[in-house]
Amino acid sequence: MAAGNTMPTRETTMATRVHAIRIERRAISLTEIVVAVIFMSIALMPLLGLLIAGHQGTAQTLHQTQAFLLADDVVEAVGALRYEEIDATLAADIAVNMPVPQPTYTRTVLVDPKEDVADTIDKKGKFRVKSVKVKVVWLGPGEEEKRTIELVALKTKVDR
Amino acid sequence: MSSGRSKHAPAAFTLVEALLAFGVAFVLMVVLYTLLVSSRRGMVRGEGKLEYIGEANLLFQSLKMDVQALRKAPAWNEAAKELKLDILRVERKPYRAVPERVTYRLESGTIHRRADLTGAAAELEHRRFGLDKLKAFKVTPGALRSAPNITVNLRFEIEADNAPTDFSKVLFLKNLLTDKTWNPLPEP
Repeated sequence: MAAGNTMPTRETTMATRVHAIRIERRAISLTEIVVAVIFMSIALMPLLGLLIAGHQGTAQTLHQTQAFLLADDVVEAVGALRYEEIDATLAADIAVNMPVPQPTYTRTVLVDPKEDVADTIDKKGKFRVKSVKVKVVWLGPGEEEKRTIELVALKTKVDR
Repeated sequence: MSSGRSKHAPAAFTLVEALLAFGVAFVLMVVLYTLLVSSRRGMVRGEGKLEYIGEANLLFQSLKMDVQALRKAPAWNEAAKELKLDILRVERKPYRAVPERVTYRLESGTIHRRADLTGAAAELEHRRFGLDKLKAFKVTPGALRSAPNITVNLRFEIEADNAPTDFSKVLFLKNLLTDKTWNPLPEP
């Protein structure tokens, strides 16, 4: 190689290629942005689902509390009434005198017509038990999904 | 060849690309902002509902305790939103029953339970329920067969709510009022 020769050496050719590559990669193409946006949107979807699930969970907690209060009213009614007043017509009386204030909930009261009778431990009397089942139903997050709370109240009496 | 092409290659966005990128970013920001605002509102609503549950339960428990110690029928004043309960409070050392009047009154979103006491004892018995979020407090007397009762209705609502939250509880006036053998302590 003579002095002043304009032919590029191997080193200068490599340097030019590297420089060219650097210039080409300096900007981001629109396609890359769109792909990035799509990926970001996909990544945000579970976050949205999480928020919706959290909101539904809180709503269900509220429903459960309200349903429990409705069922507990009947349990307390059984506690307040005399043993003889627990009969088959009690459910109708409860529906009239203690109506469910919110239409979201359906409360069913079932008085077991069968009375359990057993001897007391000292065999000197009779131990009587009546049971009342309370069921409160409401709609879950899905329109066809139903949630239920069931409580059983027992009323006892000892005859001596 | 490659060095010549690289010199003329675009080093940044064209105007159209920049506008498109700006538009996409703007839409994305709007979506994110909406998501965050709605999630924040949802969180406030959720927190509020849990607070309502806690406050309603505390109030019902307090009412139940007082109703079980009733010595006279309760008096409800609809205009003042006030429930008056004449109860027998049990004291120890010496063990005795003391007649006491307790009032539950709705005042600017909170139900205040006060006993007709004075001084430090009055402040000790002064309890608050509702955290300024109660919109309605109503008591309806009723009866189921031989058991008289009161139905307590509560309505909570804050600005972030899209619907009010209602609670209802039936409290039976049992024990001191109906069952004379419940508390063996005589009235003074």
